[in-house]
Amino acid sequence: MLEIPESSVIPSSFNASTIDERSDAELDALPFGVISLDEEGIILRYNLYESRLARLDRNQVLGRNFFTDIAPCTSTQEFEGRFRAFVNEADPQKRVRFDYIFDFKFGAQEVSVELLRVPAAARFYLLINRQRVTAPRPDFPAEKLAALQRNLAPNEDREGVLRDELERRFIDAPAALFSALRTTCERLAPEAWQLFSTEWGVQWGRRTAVDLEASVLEQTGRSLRELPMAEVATRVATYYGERGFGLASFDFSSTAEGILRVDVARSALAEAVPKLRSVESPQRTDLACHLLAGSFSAVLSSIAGRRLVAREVECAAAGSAMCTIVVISYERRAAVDAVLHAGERGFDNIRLALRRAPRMVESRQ
Amino acid sequence: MNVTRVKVAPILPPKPRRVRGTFIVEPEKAARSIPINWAGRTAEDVLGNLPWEGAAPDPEMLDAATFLSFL
Repeated sequence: MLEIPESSVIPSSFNASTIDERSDAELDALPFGVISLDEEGIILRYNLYESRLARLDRNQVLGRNFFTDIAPCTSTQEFEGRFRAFVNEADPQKRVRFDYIFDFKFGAQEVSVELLRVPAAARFYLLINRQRVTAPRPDFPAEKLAALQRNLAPNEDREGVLRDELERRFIDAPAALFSALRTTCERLAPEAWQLFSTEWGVQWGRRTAVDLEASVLEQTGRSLRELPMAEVATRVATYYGERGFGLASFDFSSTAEGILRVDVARSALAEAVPKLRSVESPQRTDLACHLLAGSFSAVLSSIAGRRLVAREVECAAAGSAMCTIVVISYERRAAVDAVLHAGERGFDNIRLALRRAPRMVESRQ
Repeated sequence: MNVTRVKVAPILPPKPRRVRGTFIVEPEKAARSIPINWAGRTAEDVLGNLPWEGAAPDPEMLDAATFLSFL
């Protein structure tokens, strides 16, 4: 049985209004499950964390009845009964919180559930915080188990749909896809390449953080932020390595200076683009791994609980032995960007520049 | 005429507190700002390893949240 720490409890500042105003992308970055239902129990919104832990594809879940189609294990007085009573509750500000067990074929999840109502709308939110992950309960009736993805959408393998072991859809794409993307950007908006690919990486990294959190929860019952940094580094490096992006190694020797260095050997992004380097615009093509840098920054920011920035400062696409990414506080990014903008490269140049940039220790608060 | 001389001690400004290294924030403030009690460690435990006191944080010993607060 795995205990979940206090630090993963849903913030008390969350209310239905602040949740309802968030975009789907913002809900996807949250480290707990969010489900929106109408008064009949039809699913209106379903965030990434819930999708990951329930191993259900959001596209197959939306529009179905939560209590009968998706989670029959909740069709009880303790859950559905509370929801129905909450729907008919006269006080719009009331919050209801209770503990429950979600029974899946692949395991039981002890959760705390919070019910919220969107003011002046027939929409309700379930905030679901996992407390413990255990083995399946042997005595639980099979017909009441939560839905399996393969039952929601049978015969997908004949419809050109691939799913991984966690029922997430994926595509088998060659690394040349990144080369094509880079070529496209070179043609349409060459100056936007760094901005575009970094932001793409950040968006990807926010989802990666949720994925890593869910994996750690299932395996250890703890959250990433509680694990030793060395173990987190190994998990992060393994995550990207297993997906073919190259081998990342974390260098902690500069942390006392406020710099975390990550070297990436055999970066798929760097190897996808070197042939693109052109005589006319060499400065635009020498750094290729902004996508990875953006992704690292989002993952590490999620763990740190504050904004960190990652920049690639050396790249194999420009002839270095490997790619080097530095991670620093958001407040010191200007010093790094000034060096890179001046066309200088290399970890030592960046380190010198950062020594001149005061550390914003107050930002820890 | 009798004159009573009164010896008056000069009023000096208080001595600044001596701190080790180059403190940027007061220790109390830093203690509040550092996540408490991850991996069973308190802020006071961690304070001994603060970078502005010269020691590098240990990635094997420190939890990720505390370690990344050094950036």
